Amino acid sequence: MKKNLRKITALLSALLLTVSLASCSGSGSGAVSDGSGSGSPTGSQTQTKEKLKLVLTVTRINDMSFFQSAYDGSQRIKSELSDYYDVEVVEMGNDSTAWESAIYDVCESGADIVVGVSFRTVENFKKIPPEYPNIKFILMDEAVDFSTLDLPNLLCVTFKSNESGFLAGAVAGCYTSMDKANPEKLVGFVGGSEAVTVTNFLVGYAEGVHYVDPDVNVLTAYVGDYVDTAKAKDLANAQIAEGVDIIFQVAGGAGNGVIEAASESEGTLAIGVDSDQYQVMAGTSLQDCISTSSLKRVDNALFKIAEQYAKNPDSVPFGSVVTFGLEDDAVGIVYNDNLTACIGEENVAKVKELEEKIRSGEIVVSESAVLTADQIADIVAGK
Amino acid sequence: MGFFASENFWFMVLRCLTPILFATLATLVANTSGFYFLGIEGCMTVAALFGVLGSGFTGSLIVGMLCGLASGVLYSLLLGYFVMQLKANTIITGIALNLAAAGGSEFLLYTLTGDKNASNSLNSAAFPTLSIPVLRDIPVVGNVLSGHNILTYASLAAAILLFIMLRYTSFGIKVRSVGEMPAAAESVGIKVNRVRYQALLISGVLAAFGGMYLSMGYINRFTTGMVAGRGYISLATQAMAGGNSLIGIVSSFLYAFGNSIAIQLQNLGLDPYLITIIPYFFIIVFYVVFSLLQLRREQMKLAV
Repeated sequence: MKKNLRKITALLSALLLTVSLASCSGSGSGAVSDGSGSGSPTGSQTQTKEKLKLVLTVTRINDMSFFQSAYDGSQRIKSELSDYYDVEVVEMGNDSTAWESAIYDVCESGADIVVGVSFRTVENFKKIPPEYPNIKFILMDEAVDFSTLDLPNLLCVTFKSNESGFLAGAVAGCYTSMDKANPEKLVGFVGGSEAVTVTNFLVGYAEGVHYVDPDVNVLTAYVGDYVDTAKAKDLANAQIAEGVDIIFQVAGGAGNGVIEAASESEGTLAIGVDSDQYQVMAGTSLQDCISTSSLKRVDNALFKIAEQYAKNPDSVPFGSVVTFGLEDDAVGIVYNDNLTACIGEENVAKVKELEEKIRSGEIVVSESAVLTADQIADIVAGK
Repeated sequence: MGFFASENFWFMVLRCLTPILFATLATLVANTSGFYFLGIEGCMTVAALFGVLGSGFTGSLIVGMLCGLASGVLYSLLLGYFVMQLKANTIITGIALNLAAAGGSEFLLYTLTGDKNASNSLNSAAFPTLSIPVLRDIPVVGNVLSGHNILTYASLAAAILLFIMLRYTSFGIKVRSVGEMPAAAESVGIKVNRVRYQALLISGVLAAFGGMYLSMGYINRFTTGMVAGRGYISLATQAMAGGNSLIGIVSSFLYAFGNSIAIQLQNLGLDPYLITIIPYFFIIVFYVVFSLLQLRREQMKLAV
């Protein structure tokens, strides 16, 4: 009897652990299928072509950050472009080693367009497209070198986060020069890692700060990953101890620590990233210190591409990199009542003026992808 | 380099020390009983999550703490069950449970709060900070020693109690004998597995406090992956401490010291990747020196 009980317990616990393991590194078994899956043409007589199957691969749909933004874009495609597309979303989990097989599964399942997001999946999007020449691939937020690689069915979409970083820097520069901030003109930046995606924000931020006030200094720190909240809070506190009064966090989940540090320090503000963190923190004590957030509208960018492709497939330049910026409403910062309360109407108007200058091309913000580490350090120092 | 003189720096060192020290003590108790507690990372994660869930949904710190403790203890006992009863490999099971905790915690967080990133929607409680009356007035070290979270003081107290327990109480002697020579212990009538379960219970409690400090002490929410390898670090600091929890304080302090230096140096603009090496470098150097001194001491003993 005891032996049977032991066997049953062993089996049950193995089952339970397998389920938790699956939710940890999704890989196909975590698929969230949202497609209508019918493929049959709608009633309209002009609709003779079949719908394209568009599959979006993400780590998880609800990360309050750009994967969620991509998901929102896919859902908008599903509702507004349902005549052209069947949309499916696959959640692959955080373990990037499992993503390759998940993407292969998606290709084998009859997808016409496969969308991936972030630099973490770039190797898959270099390796897999040549093997499926009939499938179109879209990689959001990362570029590959098309001069050395032959990938005619891949489209890379990058975002001018340096432009939204510039606006965030303008906000920071305005705040630190105000009377209510401490007399030291110091602003902070806490990033996840020194990847190009993050330094692009930094370069824009530093240029924005110095455009508003050349005397302001920028302190930078990197957490090393996107999950260690306690370390991020320590880094932010160390910066606050030096006299920083506003910190721009580009550290994903760890950024919550930065925001906590700002909310616990009187007069210190934070700037969020990738989604409107003021909204996200609604109802918590952290909300008030979030002056604004730098947005990456992956949803707008994805929708725009899908729309263009549906109307005229040749108009979308597969085999190259497209960059979306302020003028495409693909990046920006949040203008809300809290921002006005934090820096005052005059400064908000100033920032909006700068936004117009960027859109018109009067101000050109540097991009970190073409800069060396030394050049980036020079920009941060204000040289 | 002026930060060595600043109170903020040393305060931060003691703050970084707390979770590492709890984890080191947890690993120490388990290892002393002969059970290699590789699953400590997962134990801290589940306790961090359940502490937040418990206090978030009931509004009470005590309920949160009990939930966190219960989950930590259940986790470590489950690990013990797999290894001792079902005869699974200790290392593999430890790693498996770590992975299960990582994925399961994210999944549970999403199921209960709709957010996979952080428990921002829950107003979870936090352990209070203590401002100690006499201590805080001491001129130079007052602000460094007073004003910490109650768990910081608890971790130091736990280390001292554990040292006394393992050295001088009969239970402590049983734990050590089961760890050093289980066959001999068995022959005297001590039930090896039972003592190991008891040790795992203590480990679970200590690891749970370590995890809860992260989500209910310093940071006031649970974020996915927030333990960030601290459990694994404790395996190293415990290896250096051996069975002596007072040395455990020293090795954990060393790591916290290195970590804090790394954080401060970022403000000076040095390469962040290079700075990250510092805490681990400290531990390696110290351990080498420490082992050489041990070797010297043993050689001198033999010579006499």
